[in-house]
Order: sequence, then structure tokens, then C-alpha cells
Amino acid sequence: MNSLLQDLRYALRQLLKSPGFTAVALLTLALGIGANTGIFTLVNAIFLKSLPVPNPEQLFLVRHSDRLAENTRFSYPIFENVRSAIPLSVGLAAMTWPADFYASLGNDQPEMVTGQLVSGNYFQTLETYAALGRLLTSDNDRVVGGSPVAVISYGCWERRFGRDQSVIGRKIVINGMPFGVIGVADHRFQIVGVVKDARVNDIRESAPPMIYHALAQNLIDVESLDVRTFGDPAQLVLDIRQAVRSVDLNLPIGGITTVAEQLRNNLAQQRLIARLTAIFGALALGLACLGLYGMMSYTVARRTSELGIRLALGASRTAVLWLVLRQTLAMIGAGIAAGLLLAFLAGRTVTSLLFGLSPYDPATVLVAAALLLLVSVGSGIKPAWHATQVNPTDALRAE
Amino acid sequence: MIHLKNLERSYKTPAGQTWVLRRINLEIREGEFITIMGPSGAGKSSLLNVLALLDDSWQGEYWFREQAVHNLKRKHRSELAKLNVGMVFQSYHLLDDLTVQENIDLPLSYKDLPRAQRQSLVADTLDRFRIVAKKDLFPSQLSGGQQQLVGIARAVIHKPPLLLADEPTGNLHSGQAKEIMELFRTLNQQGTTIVQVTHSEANAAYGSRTIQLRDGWLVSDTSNPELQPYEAVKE
Repeated sequence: MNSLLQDLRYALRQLLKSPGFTAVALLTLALGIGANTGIFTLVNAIFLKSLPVPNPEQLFLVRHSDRLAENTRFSYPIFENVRSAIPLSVGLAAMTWPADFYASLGNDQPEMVTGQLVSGNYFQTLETYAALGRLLTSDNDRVVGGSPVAVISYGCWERRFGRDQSVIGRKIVINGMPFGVIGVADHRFQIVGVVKDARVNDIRESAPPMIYHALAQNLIDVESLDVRTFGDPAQLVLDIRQAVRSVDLNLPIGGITTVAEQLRNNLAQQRLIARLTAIFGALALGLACLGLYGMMSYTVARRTSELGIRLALGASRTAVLWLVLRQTLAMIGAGIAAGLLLAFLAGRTVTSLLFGLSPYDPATVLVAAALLLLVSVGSGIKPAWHATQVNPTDALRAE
Repeated sequence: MIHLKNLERSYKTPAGQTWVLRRINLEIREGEFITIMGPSGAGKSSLLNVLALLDDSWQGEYWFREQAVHNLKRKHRSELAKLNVGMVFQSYHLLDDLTVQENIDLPLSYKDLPRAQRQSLVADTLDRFRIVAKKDLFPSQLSGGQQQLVGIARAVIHKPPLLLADEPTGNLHSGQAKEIMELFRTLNQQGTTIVQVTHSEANAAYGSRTIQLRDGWLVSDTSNPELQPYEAVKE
């Protein structure tokens, strides 16, 4: 420990002794680390974290394909008939697109909120669970126009009711019709809902407070069928087409896509940007490593005499290796700190490109910093190894 | 203490093989104060580097206290040197970014010694060499004589039985040189075996034995008058 502190003190003195060199070294590291942390954050957001829905590859969206038809919706009876025609193992839910509702939440004046009509098994099909109370169930589909109940989103509960747990049972009015609140969609569903519903026009918009109620309580046509299967996706497509034809031969079914595909298509531009930035990020990382390698080689060459003296005074080759590595780590540590600061500042710029993820997500920043630490240390190992090969007699003679 | 048998050292150059030490046979006994002399390029520093175990690329036999150094691996040679050899250089070779105290502590930092023991040894050495007041200064803040004093303190802090000095007064004026040589004499009287390389007859006078090198050959040894003449050996 003493030796470590002594080495660090020594490293600090050397860095302060050559402020120009130190500044260039830190700037190289900071740029490499800052750029890559920012880019990794963006790539992580777009490629890895944009789909918080469980198993998005198993969730299909079925749409009416006749764009020329006046009515491009499925009627509720068609939905029910298709549901009864497909295997029981396949979950089939229906939804309308989100729309503006006038709702009186408590004693307030009616206000405009986003609402969506869904089948009773909608949340179950999306594999979403209640944060409070319960969600709609298939029972809510059984009695057409029956007991009017609603589910509010987590955001709505948080913003409009201050996360008051007594919201359950409270009477609210939607479009002039009274409903009893029976549950709050859990927080995870909020993210899924944002992706699928509230962000249907622009995925980069934040999730608005939402109110859901059962289609059966207000029979209207549905725009989309959500299907969850755990079997062969190709077989599912056949089953759906066959079930729809069995109900109405003339009903054209076009797009049956997974939610993952749907999002991929919507995010094509962002993905292209992310890919390009990842390539540039890799280049920046490569250049930072090359710079670090060059700087470390220069440092070792400059210190040949000193290392020779240390070897002559009894330092083992391993001790010299660790000495150089520790001082490399000190420099990398300072570089990473500066780089993270840079990434923090750059985060403000990339925020507009991230969906549902903060640019300061600790896990992302840590992974990026750890990756760069690994690569940077790798760049410093070869010069450090060269340091152990210094011949003390040559080094002492060179002085 | 040390016995060299037919020790040779050469370098490969584009022009061919260049010999710097030829068939060196030398016996160094415990407590001796030996001076190595000779013109530039005679092989004095090369011999000192071999004795210090800093140089590995030689042929022949090297015995250190009955231990066959020529059979040891590099790592074990370094261990042997760490325990038994102290080195003083003409250019002092202090580390510029370390204080006097840290420079003196450097050889101890490569030994497995408790911190308290290290601090105690450093404090004793600073006191013994009367440089306590300079302990927080950097080498650039010291005179040449003071730097060499620190260099010697660093070389002897771990109490090595063998002290090797390569032109230790080469960069000092006569007054400082005399002080350093007096210090060597004291160390020798306390039991340290000393081998110094010097061009100075005055410095050589402090030693008990002088050997001469020329073109890599050992040509004279005051303790061995029967040594064959240089020309004869060369033939």
C-alpha cells in the first residue's frame, strides 16, 4: 500500500513536471472516453433498451391492410370471432389507437387526457402486471356495456393523484360517463404503453398520462389486434389469416409484424445514426488507444535511465512492470474522470435521441468506462513490458 | 568473497565481435579495498557491472561466497545482488523526482521490510551521513558533493557487504572528493569490501590493492606481482 501511494505520488510529480504532456494525455483519454461513453449510451438506448416489453419477438401486431377502404378497422364481433377461431394457446387482444378523452378526475373540471379502449385480456397479452389494485381481465369483455371500470397509467396516478393509494374505488368521469377506478397499470406497463400506444405517432415523445377502459363497455371498431404466441411465428401467421378468412373472406389482412419489427422500422433512421456513431466511436477509441500506446512508449523511453537505476538498486522486473502500470492507471484514472465529465456534458446533446433512458444511466456509464479502462490498460501493457526489458548497464551508460 | 575464472565479455557490432574483458582471473577477499585503474575503454566499468551482477552476458565462472553465479538464473542473480551489493555512480544517478529521503529509501522499498523498520533505517542513515536537514530537498537543490553523499547513503543503507563505486569522485572538486574517499575508508574499516574504479592516483591511495586493465586484459595486480606481462598474455 505504501509502495502504491509512493508510486502514485511519484506519478503525480512527473505529470505536474510535464504539464503539456499531461494535458495532451488527459485530453486524448478524455475525448476517447467521453465520446465512447456518450455513444455507448446512445447505442445502448437504441439497440438494447428500446423495447421494455417482455419477449417482443413473440408479440405480433395484426392490421387491416386495405388502405383504400373507408373503414380500416376490425369490428368488435370480428375480433371475438377470430379469438374463438384461433388455438387457445395464442393470446389475442384488441385495441384502438390512443385518443383524446375528456375526463373529470375527482372534483376537478373535465380535462383532456389520452385514453385507449382495449380488450379485457390486453394487459395479460402484453404480460403487464398491476402496480396497484388489478387490471382489466377477460371478465370485463363478457358483459357488453356492463359495469364501467377503468385502469389508469402509472404516470396518471403519479401526476393526477399524487400516488394516493386510496384512488382505488374512486369515481371518475370519462366523456361524461362515470367509471370506478379498479387498478393502476404498473410502471413497467407505462413504458410498454408509451412505446406501443402513446408514442405511436412519435416514439421520442414522453409518455402521457393514460386511461384505459374495456372495449366491451363502449363497443367501437378496433384498429389493431395484438397477438402473443409462444409457438412457431410462421404457424401463427397462417392461423390468424385462416381465422380471419373463416369470419370474412373479403377481409384483407396485410401487416402481421412483431412489435420488435415495428419498432425497428420506426427507428431505422435513429439506428443508422447509432451505427455510424458507433463506428466513429470505435475509431475514436482506436485513436485514443493508439495515442495512449504512443504516450506510454514515449514515457518509458524517457524513463529508461530511471528504470535502469531502479533495476540496479534491486527492483525486480515485476516491480518495474507494476510501477509503469500503476502510473499508467493513475493517468487513465484521471483521464476517465475527465472523460466522464465530458460524457455528462455531452449527455445533454444526446438526450433528444434517447427513448426511456437517461444519458446518465449509471449502468451504461459504468460499462462504457469499464470497457475503456480495459482497452486503455491493454494499450499500456506493451510499453510496460518493454520497461521490464531495460538493460540496466545500457540505461546507466545512456545517462 | 568473489572469484572470477576466465571471465570474458564481448559485444557484437556490425564490424564483428568486440571484446571488452578477456580471460579475467581475479580473487577479491572480504574486507579488501580494491581500486581498478586503466585508460578509457580498458573495461573497468564493464568489470564493475559484471561484479555488480547488472550484466548477464558474460562467459566464464563467477563465484560469490562459494555460490556459482554463472549457474544462476537472472532472477536469482538479481536477488543475490539486492542482498549483497551497493552501487555508487559517477553521475550519482539519483531520481530527480524523489526527495533525498525517498531516494535513500529506494533500495529498501524493493525488500520485504516493515514500514517502521524502513523509516528507522532511513532516519539512522540520514543521521549517520549528517544530511537530516536535507531530507526533503530534491537532488537538483543539492551540490554535487551532497548528491554523491546521498548516493553513497542510498548504496549502503541496506548494509551490503560489497560496495562498488564507478568513479565516485569524477564529478567532484578535490575537497569534496577527499570527504567522499574518507567516507569510503571509514566504511571499509567497518567491514565493507569496496571496489572502486578511478583515474585518480590520490583516490587509489585509499585502497589496499590496485589492479590495472588494458584492452580488456588484467595486466597488473599489486597483490600478485607474478601476473604475466600484458603482451605475453595477449600473445
